[in-house]
Amino acid sequence: MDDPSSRRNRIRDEVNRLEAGGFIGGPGRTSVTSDLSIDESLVLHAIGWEAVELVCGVSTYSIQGTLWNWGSGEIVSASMAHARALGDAVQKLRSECLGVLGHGVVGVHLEVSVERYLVNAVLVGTAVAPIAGGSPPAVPFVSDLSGRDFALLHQAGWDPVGLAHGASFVYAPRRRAMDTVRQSTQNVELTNYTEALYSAREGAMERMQRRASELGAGGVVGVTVSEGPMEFARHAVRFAAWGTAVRRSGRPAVLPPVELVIDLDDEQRAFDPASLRGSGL
Amino acid sequence: MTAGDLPPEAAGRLSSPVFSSGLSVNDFAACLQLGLRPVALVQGYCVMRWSSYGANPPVGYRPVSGYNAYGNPGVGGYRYGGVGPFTGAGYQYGPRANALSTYRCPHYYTSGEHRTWGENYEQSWLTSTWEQGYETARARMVEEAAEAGAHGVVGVVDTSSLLIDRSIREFHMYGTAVVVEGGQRPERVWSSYLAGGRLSKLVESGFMPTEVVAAMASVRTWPVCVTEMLMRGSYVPGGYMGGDPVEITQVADAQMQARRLARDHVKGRLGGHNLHGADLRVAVHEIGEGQTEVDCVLRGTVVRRYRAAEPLPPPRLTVRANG
Repeated sequence: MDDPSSRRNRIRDEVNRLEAGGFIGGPGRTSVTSDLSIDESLVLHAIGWEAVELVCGVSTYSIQGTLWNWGSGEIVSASMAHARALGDAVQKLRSECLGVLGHGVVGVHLEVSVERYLVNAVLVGTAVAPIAGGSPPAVPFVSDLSGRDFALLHQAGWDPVGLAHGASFVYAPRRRAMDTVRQSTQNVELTNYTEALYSAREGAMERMQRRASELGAGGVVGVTVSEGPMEFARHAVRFAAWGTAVRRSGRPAVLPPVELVIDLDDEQRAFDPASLRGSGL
Repeated sequence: MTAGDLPPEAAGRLSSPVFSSGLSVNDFAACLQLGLRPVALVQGYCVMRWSSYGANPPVGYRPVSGYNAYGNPGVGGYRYGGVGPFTGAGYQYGPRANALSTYRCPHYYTSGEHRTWGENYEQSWLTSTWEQGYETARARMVEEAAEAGAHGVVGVVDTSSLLIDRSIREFHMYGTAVVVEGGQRPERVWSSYLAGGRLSKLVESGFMPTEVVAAMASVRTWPVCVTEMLMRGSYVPGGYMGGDPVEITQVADAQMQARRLARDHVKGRLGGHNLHGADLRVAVHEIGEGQTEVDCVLRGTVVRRYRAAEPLPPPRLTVRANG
């Protein structure tokens, strides 16, 4: 690490040089857009990768013919709409990535909202490519892992291959009238909800794993789940799971010895100026 | 405002030997480490009139007797009065000149209230109003910084919100003007959303910030029958019912278009340099069934490379023993 005075000299020199117009790039060069932090860019660079473009994929699917509150078994149209919306959003993200010659997309931020009549899936991430160039793969990878996680995986000899996802929506059937009356003065297990959630969970996890094996992956890391009753329907529960499917890259794993570090920093009181911006535009 | 017409108090404040800053203590320390001396908290402000020109119907349509609100012959309503490609005698409604995509009704029959066509279009007047508000606020902030003799503005925060009756939008931007110790007199003041440690790492890795940049895109849908019905969950004639989910293409397209447009607007201003720390924010307003407005703002710092990249050594794994 340089000492502070050489750092100071460096920025002074750079400012003076910039005033004289000495910089690399400029008109005629391809611009890079990226939502990676500087740490992520540096760590990607350390393993020989760089950002290319901010890319997105959005898909909205309708849920047809579902009453949400009355029925039993799986709500097939909702599960299908969820799978298709995410699948199409991933496809659009991939084609944007290929359009800028990216080899894959890292740091994908995933937002899925389910409403009574539709499922909306939004994916935003940064397309990346090896600095050395090379032609992009026919199917670029999509990963919700950060740039840092990507680098760690890369070093450990694994590659992300795609987003594995699965969701299941299941009716929690209404109890029979006699049960409702009998249970009105008891605190007992409502087996209809327990069974519905179990069924939804198994359905979703099974789909996610099947998707991963279709992608040729050895496993899924960083799985996120969202579960619970629907906000707009008390007799339907959802379980959705997604994560990054990974496989062995064939490169030897570089696992350096782990070092012990003790920080001497106190917990810092930090102020994030962006918090003033609020949630609006 | 032009240079030199700042209020007299401002001139006094900016030339005062006592500095003000919006930096946290961490960022302040990191800036000093980097050789940046804060001189003043500078700001820019601009208030713009902000109108979607009514929620319904899109601009270009005007009341014409004989056409209803769905563009079909009927009683009362609207027809196209613009310069779109389909404008012509006997066919007075159709895509606007700035339509991004158009949609046709797949059905064989129409009723008076059936929307036989739909389109997505950019509300370019909102894009340009936003740009003007943002650029003006930024120019005013930079002007204050130049007045204070600064080289750059770090830790920029910009806010934009609707005021009073939602037809006024304010743009507010502030940041800390800094002087580079030993730097030559600047011709142009640079600005950056980053400050402190993160700015320091950016410079160390071979980039200098040029300016903060942001663009807005607003896409509005004018739904065709199928979009409207799917959003409402109602029966779609022609066999959309029956299990298989269908993509609501028009709405999905609008969401993609808004994000792409915002990105393209920003890319158009990069001049071959890079956008660092992109922050994409989207707000979707449901105006009616299928009638959606997708507003998208993309912000970031334009950075230019002054030194070829020097890769860091591969990362080492460490364990923190901080309890």
